[in-house]
Amino acid sequence: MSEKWYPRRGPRVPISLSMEDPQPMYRQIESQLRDFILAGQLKPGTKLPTIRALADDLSCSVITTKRAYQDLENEGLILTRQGRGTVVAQIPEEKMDARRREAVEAAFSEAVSIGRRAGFTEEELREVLNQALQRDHTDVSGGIS
Amino acid sequence: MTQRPVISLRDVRKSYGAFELGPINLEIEPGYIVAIVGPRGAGKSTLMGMLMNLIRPASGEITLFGGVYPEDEVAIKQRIGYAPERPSGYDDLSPRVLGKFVSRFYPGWDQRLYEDLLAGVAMEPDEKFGELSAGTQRHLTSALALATGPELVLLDEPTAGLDSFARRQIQGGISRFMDDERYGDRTVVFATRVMDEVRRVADYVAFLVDGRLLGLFEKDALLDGWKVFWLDREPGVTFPERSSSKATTRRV
Repeated sequence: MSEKWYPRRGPRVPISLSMEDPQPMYRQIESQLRDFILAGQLKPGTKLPTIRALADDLSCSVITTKRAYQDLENEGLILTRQGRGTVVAQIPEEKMDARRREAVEAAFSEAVSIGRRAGFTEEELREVLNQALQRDHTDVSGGIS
Repeated sequence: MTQRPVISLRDVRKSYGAFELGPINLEIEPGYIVAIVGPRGAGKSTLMGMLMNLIRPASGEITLFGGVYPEDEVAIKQRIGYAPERPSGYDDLSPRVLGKFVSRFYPGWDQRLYEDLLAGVAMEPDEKFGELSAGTQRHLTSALALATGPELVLLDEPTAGLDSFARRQIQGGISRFMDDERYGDRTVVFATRVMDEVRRVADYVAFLVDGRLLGLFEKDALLDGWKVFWLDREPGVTFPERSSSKATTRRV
């Protein structure tokens, strides 16, 4: 990690890169930032580190951090203004909901296709889902006591 | 790279006796830190010298900021901070005097960065350059180049012979230079033999071996490539020497 022998003025975000992760570094940065933003941990207007400062912290190149910021900007999650740095964008509530729904839908589609490959019928898939919901329900109530 | 290059070399050649450099073709876009990596005698200093017009290429074309030597020399040099491997004429001057002297030529001189870089290694502002240790001289030379505050900084082995603490200072100075929000895209090109330095600060890496340039690579793509190589086969180990079952279990 870079030595902080002078105070870094800018903000910092808790991102970490894993060498074991098969995803390229810019994807890792992107998905971690996206999660922070969509979960509301990074509020609209929050200033993000410059591409150079982030590259420094992660010991990667600015090509990688620039690519990650550009993708997030294209998704409308962050905004970069000349001379004012990069901030978290104001994301409309329905868009936040849609994005959360997307993640859930993707997970379900994945589960369905795994089930299909394993030869499950529609009935059986529904049963699995019901059981999972039930387990979740008992887990939650069990956790309270 | 799509922006207008800061540095552009086309078929640049130079030879000294049996040593031949080039032909070198290289384009460097603003906004990046580029490491020129190679062993001693690969031609790194010659390349740096040609970028500063201290050495004339035998053939080929060198363009800096769209200008050429010698016609645009003054305009080009005002935009470059250069740290040679061994500066001459500094020996009787102190860090304080050197700073004052150099700052006069550069309107963008960053006194604060200069002082911070020197304070980081507890340098005596009034000690003469010639009486400083080799490492401290190197540190001071790099600090001068970074503080000139231009658009392009050329550093010839900026951390050779420095201890790890001083090395981090210079590396920190490079990134602070690049991240100054008062300025637009700046560029640093440094020559090095230290791979750790490349890992820490470079965006792009150019390998120079025996006078030949082996292309310009994105550092992160390169590191991903190494990862694959290391996992596949341990360095220095060839597969036939190892039982195949063991080689397989070592794969991830």
